[in-house]
Amino acid sequence: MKYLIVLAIMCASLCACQKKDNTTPDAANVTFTITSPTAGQVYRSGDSVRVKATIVYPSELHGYEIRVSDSATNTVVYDAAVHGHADRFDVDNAWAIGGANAMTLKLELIATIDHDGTTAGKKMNFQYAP
Amino acid sequence: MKYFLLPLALFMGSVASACDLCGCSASNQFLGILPGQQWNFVGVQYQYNAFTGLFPSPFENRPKVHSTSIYQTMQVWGRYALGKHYQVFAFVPYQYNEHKQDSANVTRSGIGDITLMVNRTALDKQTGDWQQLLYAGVGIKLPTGKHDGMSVTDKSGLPNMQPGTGSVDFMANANYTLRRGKYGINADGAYTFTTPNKDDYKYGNKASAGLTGFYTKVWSSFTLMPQLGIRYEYALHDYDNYTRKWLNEQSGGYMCFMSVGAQAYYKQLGFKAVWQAPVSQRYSAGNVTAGHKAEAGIFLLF
Repeated sequence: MKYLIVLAIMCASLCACQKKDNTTPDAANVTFTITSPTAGQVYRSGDSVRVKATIVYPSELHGYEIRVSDSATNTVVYDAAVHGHADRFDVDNAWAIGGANAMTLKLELIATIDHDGTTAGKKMNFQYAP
Repeated sequence: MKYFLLPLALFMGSVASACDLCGCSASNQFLGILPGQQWNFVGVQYQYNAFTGLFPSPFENRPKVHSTSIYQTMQVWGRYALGKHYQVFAFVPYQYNEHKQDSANVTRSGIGDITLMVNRTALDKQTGDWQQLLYAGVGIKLPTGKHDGMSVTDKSGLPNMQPGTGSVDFMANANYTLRRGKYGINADGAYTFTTPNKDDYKYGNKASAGLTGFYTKVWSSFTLMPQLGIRYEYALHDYDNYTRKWLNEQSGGYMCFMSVGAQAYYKQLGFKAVWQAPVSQRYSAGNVTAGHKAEAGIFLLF
């Protein structure tokens, strides 16, 4: 019986705590580099809008979201989210743009720093002129 | 006494900074009630585990994610005695894992990780009507299972879906049986020490303990052993990146099951069926709920 007691207590002791990265979440430390589209770039109907960017952080990121909206109405025209765990994301998403009306589009790239709602973001405007 | 004090000291030293309990779809190998140790055996067994999940989205203004995971294992296993005191166990599983998340389905199947264990009989004693049997040992789980590797973006959900973990893990276990006449109890405990795999993903260490009462009824060459028990399983958090200590606090947790089942023997053929119902759990930070478990198998004694 003593072997069982020893094993049970060892299990309890081994289940107690785990080391973890205690980096304090800090949105200012997230670095966004957006290479496409460029600010003010103009797209025509049927063009492929390619969002190409890198997101870098000294510790673990938990995902990112791409949101493109009409800056005048806030209507979302493209939205994508990726849940992953890394200190660097290479973003490369594309979609075909269309519509009858010209718009100033707002690109928001949002990085999730933890699961408690801490995020960092970068915004940039470009144009749609059908 | 010295065996008692060392782990107690370790336990006391770590309580103050104990982490939150969380969860993952963890499984753990345990032995439970086994055929008499005078027998070697080889058998096939089927295991079924199911979990449902309701996870908050990591992104703003998005609905919670619903998921269902079903883990099915068909495994060949056996025990072979090496001399009077040692027994070797081997487990060769085939996994079929399904994960349904909203409209997306993922299925992973293939040979799982082979486990080898060596146990030593530490006590085999008859005192009047009382019979005690204790064996304990160690084991190793080899990364023989299919493991696709994990891209950055699928680390969120797929690690537990892989038939293999990609890691070498080590186990310790002890199993005690006390019998008096037709009645008996079995207590077992097991602990799995995991190591990081090639992706530097580390599944959480796992512990399991069970207590089962059983009754033996013999009719000529047929024996029936109904059993009733309780089992506790605990998994530490996984690490998304073990080198950098990226602890996934949405993994790991505990489950406690009541179990009812039976073993039956006809000559040298054995049959086992166990059904387990969860009675208490906190898994994956409360985001995952374990369902019922079932296990059935046949084995040949030789």
